[in-house]
Amino acid sequence: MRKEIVLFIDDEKGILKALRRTIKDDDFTPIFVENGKTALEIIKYNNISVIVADIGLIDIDGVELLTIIEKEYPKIVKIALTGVDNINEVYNIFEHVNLYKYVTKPWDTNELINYINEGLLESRRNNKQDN
Amino acid sequence: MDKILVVDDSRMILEVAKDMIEGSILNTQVIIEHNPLKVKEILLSTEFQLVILDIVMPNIDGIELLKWIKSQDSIKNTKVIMFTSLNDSQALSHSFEIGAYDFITKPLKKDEFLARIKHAIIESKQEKLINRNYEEMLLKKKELELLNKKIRSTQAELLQSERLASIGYLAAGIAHEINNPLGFVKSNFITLFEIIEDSLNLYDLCKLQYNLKEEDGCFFEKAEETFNMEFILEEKDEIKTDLDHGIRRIEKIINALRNFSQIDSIEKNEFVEIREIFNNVEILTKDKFINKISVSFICETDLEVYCKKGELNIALMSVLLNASEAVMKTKNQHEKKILVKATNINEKIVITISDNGIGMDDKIKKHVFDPFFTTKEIGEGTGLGLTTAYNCITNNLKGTMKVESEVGEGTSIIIEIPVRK
Repeated sequence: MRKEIVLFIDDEKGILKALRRTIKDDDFTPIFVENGKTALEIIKYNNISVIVADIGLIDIDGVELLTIIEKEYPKIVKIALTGVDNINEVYNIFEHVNLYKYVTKPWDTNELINYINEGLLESRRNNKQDN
Repeated sequence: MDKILVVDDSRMILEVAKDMIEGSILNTQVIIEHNPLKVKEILLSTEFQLVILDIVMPNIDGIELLKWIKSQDSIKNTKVIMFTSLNDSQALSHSFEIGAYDFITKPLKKDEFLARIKHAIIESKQEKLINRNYEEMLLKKKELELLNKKIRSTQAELLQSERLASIGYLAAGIAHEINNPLGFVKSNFITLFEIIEDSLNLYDLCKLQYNLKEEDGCFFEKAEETFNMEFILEEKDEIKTDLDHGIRRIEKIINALRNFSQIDSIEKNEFVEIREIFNNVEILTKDKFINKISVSFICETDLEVYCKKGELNIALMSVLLNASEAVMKTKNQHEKKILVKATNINEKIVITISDNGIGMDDKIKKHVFDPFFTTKEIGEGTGLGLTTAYNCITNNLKGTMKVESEVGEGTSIIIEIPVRK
């Protein structure tokens, strides 16, 4: 069986690199992108199961990105990873987007991996319902 | 009506004096007394513009009475004129020494008698006016001084809370900016130590594999010396623990900053019952204090504050935690107690948190609400607890927060929040 894909979006390289190092042993294929535009490109051509997205992105507002994904790819499980500059914004996302989990920086690696694994299960359920 | 008291043991003189004065000076009432023993009582019960005393009287003479008048605070400024006969010059000069205002010789010459009395009355009135003005002025001066002091302390408080508000904005920014790099520092640190453990395991595996050959054992021994393997094995766990503590401390500070700036607050203002806040705080702190400190909550009914519930919760929690630390530090044998009380006084909700802990000296009292000020060991407290509470009360709720404390006796934090209707 082909491994499922988890897409990580964060405009800070240091974060992506740290994430890559922590999830090397897991049962999914991670893809790391630094901006919303590339993220949307990748989603278009790949079957993404879970995305882990920062909220304060430079090119597309995090809420906007998640809203687009929600609308066009409702089966993708969405996890927010954020430095919480403004919880109003997070609250806003929860209102607009069916957010699966919400993790604050600095994150707990085990917790994040658990959420991602749970998210993968959720994604499988989403796909089954569809079939 | 100006009142004049005339005292003389001769009834005739009294009648003559009364007739002369009342017949010539308008608005004047003359009270006459022939028994000098009754004079003290009369003087203490009625206010006179002028007192005329005969010098020579039985039982108690005019000079004695004059002395007594000058010794009484309430009447010592009353003008006193002495009645005298021409051969009394020695007694007369003594009277002036004691404080007599004037003298009138007997037998009475009408014009002179009246002139002296009129003059005395005018002067007495003027003096009284001046005195009254002076007293009023003193009172006003005191009021002004008080007002001035209040303005100055309000200014200082305002400055303090404005400063805190601007620090709040800064804190919000700092918290966010640090969280990103801290995110990958923490994550990389964990990964790095996994790598270290893996490398050491790999090394052990190699050693095990090659250990059979004698010369290779020698090789490992030499290599371990070169790379100071002893040091690596000894220190690595402690380095990990220290780094872990450091990162936790940074996280704690950032959380405190977040609380302080209340950037995470999505709450709206609402009318919140103080009783409810007290209940929340009680539930949250119960486990921490049980069997250690007796904490009592007393709250009048129907006390409401228009605020963000979570914010006020955090503020009161901070104050209570601070009190609990002061109480735990005390070496006294008495029961450790904290009293949290809320009442409504003059349209203000007054919340006091009093403890019987170690108390604070003036130096600590002065800085107790300053950001990052703490009396705890380095790394134990953030020094933002009371600052957060102070900011919430003064900036967000437009109230005041004060501290009263005695070293060894305990501390009271007094919060006043204006009632919003």
